[in-house]
Amino acid sequence: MARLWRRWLTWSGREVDARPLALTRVLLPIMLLLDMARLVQLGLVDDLFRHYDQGGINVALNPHLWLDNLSPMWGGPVAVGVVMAALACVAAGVLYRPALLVALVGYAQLGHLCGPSDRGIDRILRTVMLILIVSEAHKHFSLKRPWKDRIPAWPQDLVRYLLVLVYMNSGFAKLLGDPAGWLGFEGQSHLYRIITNPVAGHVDPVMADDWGWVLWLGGWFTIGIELAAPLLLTRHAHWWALAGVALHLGIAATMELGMFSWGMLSLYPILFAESPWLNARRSSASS
Amino acid sequence: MNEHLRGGLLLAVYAALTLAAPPALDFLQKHHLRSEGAQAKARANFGAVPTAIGVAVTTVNREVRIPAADALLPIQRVFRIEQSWNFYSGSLDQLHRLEVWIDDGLVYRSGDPEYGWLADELTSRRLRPIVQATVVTEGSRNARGLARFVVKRAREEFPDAREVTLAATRGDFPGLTMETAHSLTARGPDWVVEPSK
Repeated sequence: MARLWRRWLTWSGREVDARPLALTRVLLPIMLLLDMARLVQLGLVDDLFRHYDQGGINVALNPHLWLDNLSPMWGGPVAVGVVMAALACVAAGVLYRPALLVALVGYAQLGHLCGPSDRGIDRILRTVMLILIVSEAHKHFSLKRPWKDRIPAWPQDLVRYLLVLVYMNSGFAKLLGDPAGWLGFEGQSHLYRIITNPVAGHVDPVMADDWGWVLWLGGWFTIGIELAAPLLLTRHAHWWALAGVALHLGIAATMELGMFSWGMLSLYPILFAESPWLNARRSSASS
Repeated sequence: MNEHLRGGLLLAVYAALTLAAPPALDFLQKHHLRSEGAQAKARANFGAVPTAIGVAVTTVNREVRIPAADALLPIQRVFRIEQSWNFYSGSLDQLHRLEVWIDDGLVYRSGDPEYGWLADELTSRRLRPIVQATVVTEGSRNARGLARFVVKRAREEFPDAREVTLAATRGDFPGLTMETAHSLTARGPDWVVEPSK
């Protein structure tokens, strides 16, 4: 038991290349910034982040919401500005931990303020932000110098484990929910219905009806990728990540999910951390 | 930080993540394989041994895992990080569209580039789930808020408009024949949103 504990301490205490986690720390807030900038551009901030009684869309009150108590009229819109400023600091690596905490709490409050528009991707990114707060991801690719080349590995390992749970849960939910709708080969697959439903996808349902078999294969591919996610915990993670990139590019091309795919892909640099490609470039650069 | 403390805390975090969303178990309902009837049906379909294993797993899930996961929820809710990841387990049985009519003219239809007024807003990722709930479920709780938003934009862009209608249409895939399932209308000068007659 003592030997096992010692091995755990050695493994969880090791250090790794700082660049992958630092790159995720840069990309994740940029994706969120662009997502919020799009809301500002479309003039949706007031409609989404004010309660129905103040002229907004959402009627549901959330017991964890306190932003509304500060100012029912301006709490939401001001929080959008504060979160965007904090995200810019996080991406730049300045005032890192306070800025990330402000961004996380503000982002969560915006989710409480308009629950129906807060999706799974928001929960995933907030969980990663919580992990990043206690990491040293700001010690590389930051405005502050000098940069560190190696940082503790455990935050990166935790994010990987989180992704394994996310993908595997999604795969099992499909498999256990309706195996025939995902793995059968008759009628219209779930994938067909998801990507052609005009309120969520943007593939023409009539045109795609002729390509049903491709979408059956796409469904198998999706479930295969999701259930193979434990590969992320091995040194073959980068091969899985290539398939994951294809999956998310496919989702981005066929569905109206905003920054979902780009938010997920912002986490992918850490999946390539041990890839021979990254390390080969590093070796050649240092030699 | 002391390495033993760090190691212990990390183990606790891994355990919390696993308890909150264990693959497959998180998808099972609390009552899964709970009743005698459900167990008898499973025995008839899958045999005695697989059913016994299934009953043991679902009992542990119900009696141990779910209460432990529920205990973690208050912390998760503060940061809105509830760990539940059952994305797109199924799909809608029918195809749904939102249509926006201003007076007698169609100006928006989901997924139809010919009628694209307000399309950027209505398909944006934060508004889309509200649009989907509105067209799929009659009387969804944010339908009036959505309708009020559309009316506001319509009055800004079409100042002479007298009536704005949001119609939810549905039909079997691939959607060649659609019919109106329910709708909301607002008329000037008071612009109160009401279900259409």
